Amino acid sequence: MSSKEVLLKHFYKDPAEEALGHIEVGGAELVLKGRISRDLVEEISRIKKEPEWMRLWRLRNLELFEKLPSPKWLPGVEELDLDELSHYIKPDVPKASSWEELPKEIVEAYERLGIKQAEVKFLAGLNAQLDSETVFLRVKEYVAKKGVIVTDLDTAVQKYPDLVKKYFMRIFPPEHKFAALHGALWSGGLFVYVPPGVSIEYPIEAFFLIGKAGEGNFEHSLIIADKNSYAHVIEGCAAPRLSKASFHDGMVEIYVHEGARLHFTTLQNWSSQVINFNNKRAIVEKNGYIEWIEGSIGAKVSAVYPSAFLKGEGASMESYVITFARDGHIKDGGSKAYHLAPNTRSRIVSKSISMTGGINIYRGLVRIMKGAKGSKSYTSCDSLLLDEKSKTYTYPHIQNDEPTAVIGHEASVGKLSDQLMFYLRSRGFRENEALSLIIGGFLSDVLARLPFEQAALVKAALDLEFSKIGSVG
Amino acid sequence: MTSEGLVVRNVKAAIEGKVVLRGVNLVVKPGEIHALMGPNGSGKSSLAYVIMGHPKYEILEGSIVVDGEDIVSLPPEERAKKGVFLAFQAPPETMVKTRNLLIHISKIRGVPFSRALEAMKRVGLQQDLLDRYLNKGFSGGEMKRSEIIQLYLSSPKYPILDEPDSGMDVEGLLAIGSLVKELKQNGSGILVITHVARLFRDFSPDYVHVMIDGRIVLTGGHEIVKLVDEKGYEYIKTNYAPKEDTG
Repeated sequence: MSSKEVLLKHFYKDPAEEALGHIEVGGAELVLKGRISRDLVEEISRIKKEPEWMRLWRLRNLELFEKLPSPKWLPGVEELDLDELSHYIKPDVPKASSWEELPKEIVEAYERLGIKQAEVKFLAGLNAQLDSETVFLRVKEYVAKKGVIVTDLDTAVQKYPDLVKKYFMRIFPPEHKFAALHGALWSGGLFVYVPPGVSIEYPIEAFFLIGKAGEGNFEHSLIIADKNSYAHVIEGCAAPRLSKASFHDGMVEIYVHEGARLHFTTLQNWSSQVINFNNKRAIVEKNGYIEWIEGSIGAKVSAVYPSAFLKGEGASMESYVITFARDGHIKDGGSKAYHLAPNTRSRIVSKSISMTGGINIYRGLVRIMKGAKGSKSYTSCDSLLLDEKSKTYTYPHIQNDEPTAVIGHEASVGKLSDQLMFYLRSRGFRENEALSLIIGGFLSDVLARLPFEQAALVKAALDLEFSKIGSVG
Repeated sequence: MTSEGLVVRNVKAAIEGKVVLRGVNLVVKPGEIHALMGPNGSGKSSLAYVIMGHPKYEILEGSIVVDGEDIVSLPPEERAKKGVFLAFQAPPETMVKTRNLLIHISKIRGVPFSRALEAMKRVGLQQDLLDRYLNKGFSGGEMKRSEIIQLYLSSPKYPILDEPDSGMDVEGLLAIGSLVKELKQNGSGILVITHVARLFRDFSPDYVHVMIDGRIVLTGGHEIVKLVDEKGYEYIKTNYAPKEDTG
């Protein structure tokens, strides 16, 4: 092991793993595991007392799952034995709307992750899910008063079936095997509806905790921003150190109506036993705007590509992807923009950091359809390699059928050289401080572009990630 | 008897198995300016790196003592805290914004950031440089000036300037000269490395050393600068360097 490797190993601490340790969180009232079959799917639907249309939807997706080939582009799936996973875990606590209702050990887990404090202090609403079901849901009064709906998707199916039917898996249909599997087994997730013209200044958070080893987690978030509305949704993910692999096959669907603005920030911090796969897509109408921030910190394997169909004239997407790969972990990420209308804009900024044998792969897509006149797209991919063992690959795909479109792409790879470390240390910085300065500097142009609170969030997550490195940067 | 000073005693050092310093002796006392001259490849920059603690150099023999304490086993950042500072001849490109680095240097040194702005004015650097990545796309002159600013901000007791003159215009040289004189007045012991004599039109070193093949072969006053200027290093090598013993 080189001295730099020792340094990197020493300084890296997985914050969620550190906070949660290796103890599974919470007990289970019910576990459905084993072969993925019609009986299993029917049983999930029965437990949830679902209406017929949802039961049939699940079964249709199961058929598709069985028919569709395993995708070649998804790394890590070959080591998964799907029939060995627990596909539905109902925690042994009822859904609470105050922290006092929850058992101490569960509250403590959320306290260690800082979720409880955030909820009390500033969140407009929080849906905290443990394994397959929501265990905490609370929405601030001022939010409900404005007519905003914030609940878990299971409740939405019961209470707002028309809204769910209109959007659910219509933004991201079961177009590949694991999207179909998700459609068959989905459970929990956040549902948000923001009425026309309504702005919610403080963020709404969905927090997902995988508490058990060998778990399949299929949460589904559905966000609808009606005309000229504004909201910011945060998605957080964590898991303790697990004795065997768990699988997250989630979905995020967002519909941005005319003139609406929606910010969606993810801080994914699963533990190193989790294989993470999240299907994220938005449809954006005329002059609407979607911002994706994907902070992909944890997980052994992760494949996430926040995407947008820019459907209406003047619709735009900005996507900021920060991925961090270590210890042979594979981060396959990127962002996809489909320009379907004139004067649509997309901007994708990817920053990846690889260390101790981590592999980062950028797999982006910019698709400009004929007739999307005057559309513009810009992609930049910067990679930082902290040692020689780590790797980074960039596959930006551009398909343009519109001659008036303007497309830009830039990529760079930076390496942490011994000379650079010596240079900074000669100025009086310890190795860890020098590293923190470099990482902070590498991300600075992304952080600087984000609104203050988002930048603070991403920065806080990374500071936690490199907590041993100190406060410089 | 005072133990103050930067004392290099019989230092032999190698990089990647190649011996580059063959027994260097040098004493820099507070308030003195020492010039280290010599042809390219004679070991001047190696000596600077070795004093600063570059991890790629292996010390084969000898000691480096700062104010009575041997620093050979200390990492670079600890040496920096003891007052050693190296203004690099060719600083590496960084991914750190210049402003951010200067802020952090002023923090760890406990000096106000305004000192950096003051130094920028003195050496003639525009403030828009602050928003660029340090040394990335910098011109030769910008790099040298930025090294001087960091030096000034750090107020080191034993600054080492490795070829601060190369690529600098006349104004830049004048600014360096005035800063070096100020550092001397404030009690710093300064080591300036150069291979040309033009730098010393602006300030006069107290001692001048000539390094040839990893050894200091000649030490004296300002007259040595003249000797180098008029006769060249080949003359000094022929007349002063010890004859190469085999092996």
